[in-house]
Amino acid sequence: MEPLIRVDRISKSYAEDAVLKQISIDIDHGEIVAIIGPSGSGKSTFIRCLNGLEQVDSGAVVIDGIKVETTASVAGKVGIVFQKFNLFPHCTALENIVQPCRVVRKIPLQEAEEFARSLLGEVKLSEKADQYPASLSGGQQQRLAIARALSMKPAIMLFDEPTSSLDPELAYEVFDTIKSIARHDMTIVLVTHQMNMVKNFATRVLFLESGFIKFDGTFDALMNTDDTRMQQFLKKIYA
Amino acid sequence: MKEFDFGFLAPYIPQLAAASRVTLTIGVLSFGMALLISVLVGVLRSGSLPKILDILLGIYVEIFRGTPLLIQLFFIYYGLPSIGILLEPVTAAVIGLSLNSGAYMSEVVRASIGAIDKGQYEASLCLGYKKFQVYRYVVLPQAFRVALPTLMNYFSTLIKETSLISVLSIAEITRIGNQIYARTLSPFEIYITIGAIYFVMTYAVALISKQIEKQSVKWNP
Repeated sequence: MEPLIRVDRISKSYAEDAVLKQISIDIDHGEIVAIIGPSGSGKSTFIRCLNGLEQVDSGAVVIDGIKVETTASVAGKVGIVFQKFNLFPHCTALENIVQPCRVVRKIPLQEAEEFARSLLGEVKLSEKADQYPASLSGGQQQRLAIARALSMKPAIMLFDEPTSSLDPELAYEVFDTIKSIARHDMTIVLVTHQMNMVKNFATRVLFLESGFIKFDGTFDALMNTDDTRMQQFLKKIYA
Repeated sequence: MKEFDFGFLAPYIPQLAAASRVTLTIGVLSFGMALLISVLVGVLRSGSLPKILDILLGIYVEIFRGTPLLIQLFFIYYGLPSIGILLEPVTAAVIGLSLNSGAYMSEVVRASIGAIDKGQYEASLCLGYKKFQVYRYVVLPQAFRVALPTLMNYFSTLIKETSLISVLSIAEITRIGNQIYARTLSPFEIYITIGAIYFVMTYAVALISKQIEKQSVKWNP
């Protein structure tokens, strides 16, 4: 059976700087893959290549049989949640979900509103429906961003350091939300530095460094690695 | 010292009212068209345009910003007939004013679009918005808020600049004021009255602008 995500020898450079070097990996339906690694290792670039936000220089990303050329080619299949939320500031929480449902999925207004309210309920933001993003806390904004991404009913969710701009308490709220959506049989690829999240959540861990995948396995196997460089890194962020 | 008396203006009130309507109509019409031009040119120039189109739009903006409005009006009304384009005075005035203001305002729109965070484009494209939809639903509503105070300033400026179209024999306030002056030889009272009419119009624009700004204060970037 074809994997849901096939990454076939992709490379990506910015000017002279090679960020991803011939990376290949298959991700199956329902897997929860956490990507860890030091800053500048290519984690964010890798995740952005999965939905066409970055164009690869060589190789290919294939999602559910579709070669990823631009964001448009996989927009309905892949949702993404950014570190900086990227909510629409001129729309209320409800409108942030209703608008894409109307514009992209062409759902009638009333149906879109009902659907949006149910999603807000799922991320525990029902009471904030009429508030603008600027009046929400960081954790609430990120949960709203998750609900907005889910409104497109994607099969895959990408999370690009979703909690790194939040304090630990708010990060926990977001983590809880991500955990709850993972129950919906969704494939998740997550870039994070939060090792608790990786431990409790990921079915598979990738360690990226200098544009290569240095490790691909379970969390337990990662913790028992013999690689000194990885041990050093884990010691630093897991301490 | 001469005693000033505004009473002699009473018979001219209907004429001044009609002239004010002409000024206001041409001002509003020109601003509406200038807004359309500025959004079109501003959006096109902020995207990745073919080089030639970007150069052409750049030439339009620079020429209309770099030459006097009066010369532009003369050219449109008196110059264009030489190549077979004959325009009514009001049409020539609206075209001249809107092309002139459109050039300035397009730069405001372009700068406002440039101020929108890159993440807004990325988020909407990832949700499946088409490029046109990104501008229509995400970028322009936010850019509009950034641009609004400056655009409304241009509206005030445009209303004041309509005084220049008196040279095209249009019966707007300045022209009517000049005619009353020629008949009464009382420049002080007349030009104070004319100035006051312009002031009321531009002050109304300032009030409307404040009202719209208040409406959009509900959200913050």
